[in-house]
Amino acid sequence: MSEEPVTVTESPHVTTHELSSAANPAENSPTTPKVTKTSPKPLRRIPVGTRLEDVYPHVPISLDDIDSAFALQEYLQSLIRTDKENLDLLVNVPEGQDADAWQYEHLRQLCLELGYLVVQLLSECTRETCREMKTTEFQYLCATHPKSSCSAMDYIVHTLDQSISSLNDPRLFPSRMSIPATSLKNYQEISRRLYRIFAHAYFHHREIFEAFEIETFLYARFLKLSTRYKLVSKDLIIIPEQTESNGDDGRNRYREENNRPENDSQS
Amino acid sequence: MMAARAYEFFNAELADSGLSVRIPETINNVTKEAIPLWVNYMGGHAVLKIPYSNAGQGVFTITNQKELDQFLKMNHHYDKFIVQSLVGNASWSSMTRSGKFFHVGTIPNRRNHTYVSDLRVMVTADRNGFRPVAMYARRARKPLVTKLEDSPNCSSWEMLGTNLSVKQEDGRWSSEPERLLLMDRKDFNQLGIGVDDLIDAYVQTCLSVIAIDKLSDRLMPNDETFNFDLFRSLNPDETLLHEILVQIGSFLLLNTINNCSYSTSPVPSFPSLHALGILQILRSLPIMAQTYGQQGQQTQSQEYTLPGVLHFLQSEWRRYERDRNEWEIERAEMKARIALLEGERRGIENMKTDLMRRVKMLEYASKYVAEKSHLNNTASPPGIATTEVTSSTNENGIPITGLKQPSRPISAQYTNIQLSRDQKTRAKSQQLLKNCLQEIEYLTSVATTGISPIPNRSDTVQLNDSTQAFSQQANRASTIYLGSEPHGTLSHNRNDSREQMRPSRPAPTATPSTIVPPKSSSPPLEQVSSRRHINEYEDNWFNAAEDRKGKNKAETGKSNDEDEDDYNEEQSTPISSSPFSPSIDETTVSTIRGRESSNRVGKKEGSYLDKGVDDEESVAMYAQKSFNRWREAFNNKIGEQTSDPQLGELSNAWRDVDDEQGNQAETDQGHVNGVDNKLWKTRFTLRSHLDSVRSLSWHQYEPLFVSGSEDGTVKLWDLNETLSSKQFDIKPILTYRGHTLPVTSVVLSTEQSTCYSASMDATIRVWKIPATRELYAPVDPSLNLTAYIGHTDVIWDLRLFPIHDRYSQLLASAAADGTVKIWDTEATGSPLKSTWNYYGIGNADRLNGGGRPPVPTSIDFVHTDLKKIAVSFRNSIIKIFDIETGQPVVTFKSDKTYDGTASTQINRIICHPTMPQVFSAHEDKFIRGFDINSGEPIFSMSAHLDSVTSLDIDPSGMTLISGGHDASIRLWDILSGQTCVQEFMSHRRKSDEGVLCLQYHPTLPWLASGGADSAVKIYN
Repeated sequence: MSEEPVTVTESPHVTTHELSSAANPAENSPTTPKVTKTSPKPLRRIPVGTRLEDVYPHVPISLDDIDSAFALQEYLQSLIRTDKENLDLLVNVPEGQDADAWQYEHLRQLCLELGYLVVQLLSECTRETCREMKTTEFQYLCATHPKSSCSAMDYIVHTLDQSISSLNDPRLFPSRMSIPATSLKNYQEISRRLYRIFAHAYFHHREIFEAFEIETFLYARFLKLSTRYKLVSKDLIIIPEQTESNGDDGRNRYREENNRPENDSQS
Repeated sequence: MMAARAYEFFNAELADSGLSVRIPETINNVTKEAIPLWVNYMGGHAVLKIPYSNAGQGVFTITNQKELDQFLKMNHHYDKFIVQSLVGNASWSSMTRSGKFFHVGTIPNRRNHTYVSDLRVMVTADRNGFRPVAMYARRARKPLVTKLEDSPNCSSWEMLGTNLSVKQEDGRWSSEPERLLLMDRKDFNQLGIGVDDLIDAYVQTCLSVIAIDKLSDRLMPNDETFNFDLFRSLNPDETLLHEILVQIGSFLLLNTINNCSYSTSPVPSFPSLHALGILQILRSLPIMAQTYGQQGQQTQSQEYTLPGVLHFLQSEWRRYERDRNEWEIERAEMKARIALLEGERRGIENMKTDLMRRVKMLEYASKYVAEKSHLNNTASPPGIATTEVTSSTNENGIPITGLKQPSRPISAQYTNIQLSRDQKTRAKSQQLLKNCLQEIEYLTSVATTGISPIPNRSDTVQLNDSTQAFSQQANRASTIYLGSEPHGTLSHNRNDSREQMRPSRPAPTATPSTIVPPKSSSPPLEQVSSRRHINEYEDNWFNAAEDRKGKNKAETGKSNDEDEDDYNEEQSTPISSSPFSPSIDETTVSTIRGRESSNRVGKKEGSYLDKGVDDEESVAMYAQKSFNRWREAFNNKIGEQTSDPQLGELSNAWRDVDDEQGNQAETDQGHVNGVDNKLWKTRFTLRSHLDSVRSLSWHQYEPLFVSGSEDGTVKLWDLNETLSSKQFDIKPILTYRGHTLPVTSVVLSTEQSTCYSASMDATIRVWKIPATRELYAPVDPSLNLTAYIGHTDVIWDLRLFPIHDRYSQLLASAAADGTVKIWDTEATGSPLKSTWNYYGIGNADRLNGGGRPPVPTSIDFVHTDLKKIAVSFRNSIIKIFDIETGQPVVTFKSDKTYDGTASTQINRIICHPTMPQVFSAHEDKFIRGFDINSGEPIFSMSAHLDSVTSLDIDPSGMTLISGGHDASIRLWDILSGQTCVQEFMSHRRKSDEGVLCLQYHPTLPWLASGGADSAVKIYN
């Protein structure tokens, strides 16, 4: 994967052609096992008309199987969908991969899933309930318009949008396979701001936060990631520890496992 | 005031002609004391004028008591005043005896403000009559209010007065040119004045100039004397008379320049005022308060010196010269435009002639075969001949009673005979017909690809989109014909149907036999050949006529005598030079002659041109050249013509970046054949989504679109904003968050300013597109309008009904729960209108073996029959449902390669915007096309290296575009079937997915695609 790093943005045409030539083996790979094995490995795509229960495969994909420019993203998403409680596996850099690129994919995924937390918060966190962005005591000002204060939801949405746009900024991150050293400092800035979203949700919308956490383990994963790679300094972490080791883990996992055979029998 | 008199006199003269100078009700010579009475009489709203003032001074609009009181308090120089009716708003105009005046034009601007404007026309006259010099409009300073009570602070003059002159606080005069709307500027169009109104304005101006001229002539019967008595009787204002007596002696001669204005919103009645001004200029009154207010005002307050007057005259002359030049330029432009349009028309006509000739040929061929078959059995050849002659004459509207009567029974017999033809001949003739039709189709497509048997014609034909539309229509017609052909065994039926298609054709039954020559042995041959001869002749005549018509338009001024000769010559030529024996009996010939003359009278109005082929060619060349010139000019202006001013800049900016390419791409938008010129190129790559972009949808007019992604968000992109500032870091203007699972489909409704998004969370959410678009605006929860809940599984496709209606806007959705649902987004109650599955409404029980019914994958409204909707299913079947009843109407045989798994399903379908065709994109790399009426397949091709995921058809209906999981985008020429016009790699693959969605901009030459690499790309 890391052999063809920079070509992506310098000459998109070259890459796409390389990919198209690579498309053939990718196309063949699922068909060859079809012949040899009894259980055919399905294509990872989601055909139109698929039912929700069949949208994503329930077994993790091995990184070696993925032949695409977005292998790390696919691998990470596959891990999250199938084994999201296994935080160590999630956060540890996969063998032979670039740690910076892995963090980058994590941050992208974090922004993606935070979007769903925002959807939940929207019902409760309004201009009326939270006029200012606060966690415990400080009021935070939004980086997009630092002069004026805005409501908590404005802060959350703007921060998220800005994080997404800097993660998508081709000047900062020209390639998803190798990250320029100068862009690494953005990780900390993004993480620090995103952390406040969690903190606000935790201190002001506890129910939503916890329900979401049970479902996704998003904060736990984020905490693990940011402590492992020192993205957020220790003294800024204000959410108490115990939420990380949630007592509901077992029940949740049980439910997940209960679902799995049911789905398999249908498909 | 004098002008008002002049109009009254002139109106009296014109009383019977239907023409009149329209003037608001005017009460002259009103004393100050009587003013309140008259104002009251006008309903409290009126215009008060101090006579002999100008430039918006001395005119007062009275809409309430306060304004009236103010007026009465002022000191006035003259004794008498004028009271006129006021044209205000619909709710507060003056009532007069002749009813209310109203404003024309006056379209509200973006802020929904309506401004009063006056339209001014300048005319000049010489021996040859009147000519317009200039037109412009002047807008009032403030918008018109609906009710006067709404804005108590706004004086009515600010809303109604259109004069540009402003008196500054220090007493000096200035003008506000920004309220001047010149006709050659774009903002003139915003007035919304139609050509009729402009013509009306011109006529009124001419009339008023004439009226004033007449009165002037009476006042000054010769150049030396001034009929003071008459003037006094008309205008008994002593103060004014005194002024005149003092100042008489210095006079000007300005007879040639007449100037007047006409006001579309005759608010403070400018015609009279300004015409009076002219009267004053013309007839020795040194008050030159006319034309531009600034000058007029200065002259009022200054002494007149000869150099000053000369200077004024010179500047006026220069201005008129300039206006005249401008007008000349405009005229030249118009001429060129006429040439262009004529070129276009000629192209279409030639095309039509060509096609018609072939149709005739075909008809002859079919007739011949039919004839041959039944002549062998029980022939009545004369009957046929008569029938045909009669039918054609009937179509031409010439009653030939002698022939008509006997033909009826025979024609009935003829029909019976035809019915009883044996199957074999029928099949044979069908085959023949099919071949011919193929040839037509081939020729049609050849004509559009630029290799035509008749180069002169094809050149013009190839040039524009409208001809393409025509050829496309012709193609459609032939498709229909093909579809109905197996049933249509009666040539009568066919003739009828064709007649419906081309009602202007003179003789549908007559055809020259260039393909199938008749055999010269059977008894009816004589009839046949003679008939054929007639047909041929007729055809020749027709073509010649057509050609001449073109010539006729391009050049004028030929005498009729010449034409007559030529015509006769032409008429005799084919008969004498015919290779066949001229055994036509008298009746037939006379019939033809009769028909000819009638045709000639009806269609050509008896004027033909005697021109050789060379001339014709040169005319064509000229038309072609001018057309090309105009095309270029058009391309340069294309930006300006679009609704948004920023867009113009935008396209210019693009042209700078890539001059040739940009130009060509815009030029040949929708033109399939300009393959080399019209390659789509990536312009922008928009990155903001965090996962695959599954759907996108353009705004109808603006460079604005929404995209829906697997990251659960819908993003709104406004390229307007970003491109005008020429930045390349494009961010979405808004991110809609509300779905709890990935978004699968989005559609944007331009009319409703809303967008609909469907998601894996089984809901459809409705979002408002905000009017003000600003990055990082405060979160506005009100943009989340509502959510449609009803589906129970992933919704995979959404489509909007193509036509928006204020009371109903249908939205169709297809979901993995097996149902198709129709929502009425404008409904007041529950939006859900109907639900059905694979088997239609109420047939849910008809399941095969108790399994779930096949899941719909894609839907599209049938554009050619809006009561129908096409739905594709996972079992690779396409069905057409009736939207109202929810019952399947047609089922297509689209599952040719279906193997029972999802790897052969249909991913997407799209209906052609103008033809009854539906195209399907299959998982097993195929693209197929079907005829909606018959359900028969049109073509089937293996189109991509991997699954085809997305399809769209360009707005002109010429190009099919497809995207696949092989990450490529391919363009296909619809007319020629399966020709790949362009292919390019676009998105990078992720999760074995490539391109996921594609859409042409409905009105701009752009294309957008979204892919698994989370990016959206814009091409042009």
